[in-house]
Amino acid sequence: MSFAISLASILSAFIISGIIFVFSNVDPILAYYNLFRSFTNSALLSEAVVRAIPIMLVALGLTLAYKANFISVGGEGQIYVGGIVITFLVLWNAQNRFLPDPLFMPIAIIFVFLFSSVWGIIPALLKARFETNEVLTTLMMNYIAQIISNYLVIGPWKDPKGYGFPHSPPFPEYARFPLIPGTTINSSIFIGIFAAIAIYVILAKTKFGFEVKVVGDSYSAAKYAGISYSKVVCLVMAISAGLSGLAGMSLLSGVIGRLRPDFSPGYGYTGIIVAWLCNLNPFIIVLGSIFFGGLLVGGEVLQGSMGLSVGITDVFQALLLITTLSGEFFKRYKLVWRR
Amino acid sequence: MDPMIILTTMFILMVQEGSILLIATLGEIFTERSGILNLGVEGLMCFGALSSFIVYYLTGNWVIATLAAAFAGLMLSLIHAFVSITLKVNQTVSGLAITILGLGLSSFIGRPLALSRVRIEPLESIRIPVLSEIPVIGPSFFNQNPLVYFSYVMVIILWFILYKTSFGLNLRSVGENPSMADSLGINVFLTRYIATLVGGALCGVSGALLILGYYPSWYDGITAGRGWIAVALVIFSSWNPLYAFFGAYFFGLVGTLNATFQSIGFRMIPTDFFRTLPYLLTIVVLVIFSSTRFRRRKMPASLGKPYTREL
Repeated sequence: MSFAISLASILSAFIISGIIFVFSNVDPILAYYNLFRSFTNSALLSEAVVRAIPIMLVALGLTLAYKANFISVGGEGQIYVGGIVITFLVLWNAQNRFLPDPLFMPIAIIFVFLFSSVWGIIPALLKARFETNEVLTTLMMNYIAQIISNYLVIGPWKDPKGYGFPHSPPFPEYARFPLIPGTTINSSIFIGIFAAIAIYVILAKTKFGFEVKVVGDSYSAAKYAGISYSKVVCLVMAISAGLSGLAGMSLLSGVIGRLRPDFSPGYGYTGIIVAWLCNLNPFIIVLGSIFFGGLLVGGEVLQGSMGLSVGITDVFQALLLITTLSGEFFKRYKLVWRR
Repeated sequence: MDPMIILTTMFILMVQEGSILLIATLGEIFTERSGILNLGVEGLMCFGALSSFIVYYLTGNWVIATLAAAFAGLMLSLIHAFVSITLKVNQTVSGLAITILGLGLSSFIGRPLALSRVRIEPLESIRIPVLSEIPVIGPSFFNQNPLVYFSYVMVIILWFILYKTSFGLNLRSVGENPSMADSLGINVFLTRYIATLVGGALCGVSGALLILGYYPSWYDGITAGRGWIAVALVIFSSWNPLYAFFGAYFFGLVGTLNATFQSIGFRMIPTDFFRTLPYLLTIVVLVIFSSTRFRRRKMPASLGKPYTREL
């Protein structure tokens, strides 16, 4: 029954988007074929996996936060913070050579994680101390991080040899994630897979994971059980933001190779949808991210071949989220005929 | 430069920016007073802006364009209403979905407009006699386009509805204690639907003011987080339309600092810093006004909680 409802939810999202296609004079079958072309073509599928990495990292981090009922939407900003930190390390190391090449990436991963964590702890502390609404604070911090990142790349960190283009100097080879041979997929995917296992273990096997779930179920029960709300929420957000920061690093060191303005096309928001749609299950999130990565590639195919805006992928994602949420209603309540 | 001119210019920009925030904040106050949290404001504003832009471009009639924006906001908020009132789904998540949907639809439908760089003439200001002669206040508050005047009027109308009519009393009691309201014979579901739809329509209108008043052409992400600031302003104004008036113009003023400092050639701090100010200030304001002392008395007691009728 529950499976049937999920299927019905997904189908309704398809039908509604199909209606939108028809209204915009687009053949829906052709549009869907393009939107899901990634799954019929190995080169495009490899692109889908590339896009899935940052989405996966964000969604896995958010899973932990959502389990604690901390509705963070700060992934996008944390991606930018991660991007700022890795660019800073690259520029600094280029001047001082403080690390031997092979050690750079492992140390950088730790630094990116830690500094992004600090950024993520801020809204957690504010919620624990002042009961500020975390949706609003994390969202505001997204705008702030993006403005700072864009300021740096247009101002002090602009490539002096970049012919005036707004981007940082290119990252040297030792600051790039090597590609998996034969594919365009970079090795940061292993961070994603490791994170999925880690989040699963934390939630299923540790005392901290238990505390997270108690806090998420009931604030007062947690208090009664002697669990510190602020400790749990801060730790949860530290991990969540750290992973999103790594998503930013994965984008720059794995794909783009330098800091650019507005370098994340909304992966932080796609991560939110993926986390909810995959029912906060770490392993389903890995698969779901690849599905959504494919959708994003499909959106670009649509834009390239049919001149449609990539915005349609956002529409489809949102519709999917709404229909799935609605499906929850029918799973929770049994429909009973009454005379 | 003459300080009076600088001050007047600042105030004019403040009213322009503030009125956009004001209409959206009023809409969200009306919705939240009934107990429904609609985090879709950003999406509703953006979709409203696009709808009014298209209709204004086609008809050249700002009244029809504004109505189109209201209708667009209403239709999107109908989804939120159905999902969160009838299906009793998590309102935070549903609101986020509405935001993504609104932004995505606007980007999808608006792409040809963004590419062709279609332009419209901004709405003309109407000078109010006598009042517009007051220094600083006059040219800023009383020489604006009709939608700005609409925002002033809505403050009074919404305040009157909420506090002086029986419908307003019902709406507030539904937001405080729905089961009590239900037992008194108030239709909780209908009241919440009305509040959500009216609020959504207002958010759409605020998008209309944004684009018809100040942006001659359409581009992606035109709302730039204003919808989220409006959601925060609701807390800032303690769910009261009258306070929203002051809150919105305060944020409007902050939003103009960037332009003001640029115009007087202030270079000590990078201007990008001023661009972060509205967002930073929102966080500061949230911290101050979320502390228990301010909030506990004011927040509608069942905000964000779905109502299920006991059988």
